[in-house]
Amino acid sequence: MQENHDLSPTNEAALISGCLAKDRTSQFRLYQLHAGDMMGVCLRYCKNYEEAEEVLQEGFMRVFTYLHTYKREGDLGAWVRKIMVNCALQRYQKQAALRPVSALENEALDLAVDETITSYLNKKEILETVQSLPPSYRLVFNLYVFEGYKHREIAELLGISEGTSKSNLSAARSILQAKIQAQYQSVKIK
Amino acid sequence: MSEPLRNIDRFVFDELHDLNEEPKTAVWRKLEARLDEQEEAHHPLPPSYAKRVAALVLFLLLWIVIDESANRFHNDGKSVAMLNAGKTDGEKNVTVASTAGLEGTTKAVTTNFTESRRLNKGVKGVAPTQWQLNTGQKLFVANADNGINDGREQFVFRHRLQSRSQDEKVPGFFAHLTVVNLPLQQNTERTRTVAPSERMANALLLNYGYKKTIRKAAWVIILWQATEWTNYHLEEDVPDGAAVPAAAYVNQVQSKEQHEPSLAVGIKLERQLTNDVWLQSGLSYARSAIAIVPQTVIAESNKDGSIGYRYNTSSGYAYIKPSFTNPAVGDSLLATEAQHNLSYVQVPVTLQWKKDIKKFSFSTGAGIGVNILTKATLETEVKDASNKEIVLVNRLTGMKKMYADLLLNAGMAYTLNKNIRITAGPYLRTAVASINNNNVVKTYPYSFGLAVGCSYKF
Repeated sequence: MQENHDLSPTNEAALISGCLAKDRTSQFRLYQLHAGDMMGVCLRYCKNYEEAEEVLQEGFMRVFTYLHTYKREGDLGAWVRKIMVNCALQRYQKQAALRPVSALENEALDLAVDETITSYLNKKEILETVQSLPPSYRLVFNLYVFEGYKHREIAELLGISEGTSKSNLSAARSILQAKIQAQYQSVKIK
Repeated sequence: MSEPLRNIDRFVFDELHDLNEEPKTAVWRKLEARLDEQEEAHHPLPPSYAKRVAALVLFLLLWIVIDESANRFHNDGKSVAMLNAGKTDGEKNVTVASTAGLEGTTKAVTTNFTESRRLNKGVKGVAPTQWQLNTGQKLFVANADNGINDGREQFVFRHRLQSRSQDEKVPGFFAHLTVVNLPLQQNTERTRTVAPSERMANALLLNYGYKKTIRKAAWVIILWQATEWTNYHLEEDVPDGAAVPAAAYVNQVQSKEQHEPSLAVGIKLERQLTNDVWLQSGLSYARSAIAIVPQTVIAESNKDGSIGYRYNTSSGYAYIKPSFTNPAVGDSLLATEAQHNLSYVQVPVTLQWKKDIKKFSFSTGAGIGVNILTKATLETEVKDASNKEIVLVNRLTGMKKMYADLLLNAGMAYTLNKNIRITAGPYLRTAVASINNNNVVKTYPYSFGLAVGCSYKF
């Protein structure tokens, strides 16, 4: 069940005030409003559902802990999303899963996908394909494609070089294309 | 039939950018439990914590001074005339002379003790004592009410026990006492008026007593210096609207800074509370240095609207504006190796437990300290393709004026003589609150030090 995320400014302000006052009802309401979308974000960053739940939980803890720093100037959902992404990144940094790949300087290839695939594969399968990427490729892909970061910014975030960021993205694209094509072929045959 | 090809990025984005998946109910239950724990957990120290600690230290010091004063006998200025030879049969007896010429309101009554016999008669309410008073001791007497309602005034005096055979220790404060041995007169009571002068008088001792609660508390002053090795624990301080997530700042700061050994000097004052327990406080000065590797600094807009190259450190940040450039937001500049120095004055309060074994003394202690920031500087050189300039920053934004830390120490001292000792030992300090606010990271420093010093007991 999707929650209605459209809160009037007055309602949002009241909700935030309630959360700052540690009112559990307000906190639950805020959680309900954004949990679905944020779970989607976490699923893209993590390798499986259980990990995504842990990141989601940690992310919302930080949302409630640092809500006092939200200046109410931008979209609350975007602020929550930023925190969720940070949590996902920190989890993998702690796991030291970001082994740098050799820094290739060639630009990412513009890999194409046949649009007819979409009629054969569902979101879940595409998500699983993204989740199956190695952590370093998956993070770079998400940051570049979904968050819109540039390679310089990704490099600073992850503590890698720009070249490594580019080569990781290129590798992610290659793997995704190969896997999606393979899945499409197997589904088509059936 | 194939559709027009699409970029893989676009394909995956279109499929997954609006992915919405409701989490299981258990997620909220776990989150709720953590929120409950967080609310029950220790709350950050109130902003006025340091001021309260300072007030507590002041109160303790004041209490010690008052307590010391209260323990002393009050000399009302009407000191009894000194008992000197007069009419004595040597050192053993003195005959009370006439009272002619004596003035004053002080009264005296003979005491019922002998020079050599141990007496166990004491003043009511005061523990019985035994004294052997020797010729040559001066007696200073002050009026004091001993609480006995028997029509007599009582004198409470202080003296130093001269006995060779008596084992009782008498806490005394006067260095010079002259008391004449008094005749054996059992249960004799006479009153005399004693003049507040120093000529020979007939004043005799009353029953006397002493405050058993008096202790001769020792004081020790220690001068010390130490070498400290400092490190820190960093936590994210998520700035709202930051272009770079907080985790990246923690990585940046940690990877670029390296602490160097630093020096601390100070003076401590100790006051004995019991045989083994001492209260210690003092003042110290510590200066630490952090080396920062070269880095690129990016121009940002300051709160006042001006634009400068933002330099982040673990302590605070600064906006650098070299004279050779007028930056726009997003411009970058290379900053070479930098030196970041911090100076603090510390006021510690600790309880020390000491044990003396022959010429050595071993101690261990714990307490708290308030660290007051006196200086925070950053020196680096910025340069571009054709210019370079040395930059010195004298103030970093985001630093707190003071923070508190926990102190643990251990030590050993070697006694040179009854007053002077050489001391040495390690200590540990760890911050209980961050040293900064609204910085890119929250910094909790901890230090290990090795101190050597010299103490004087009085």
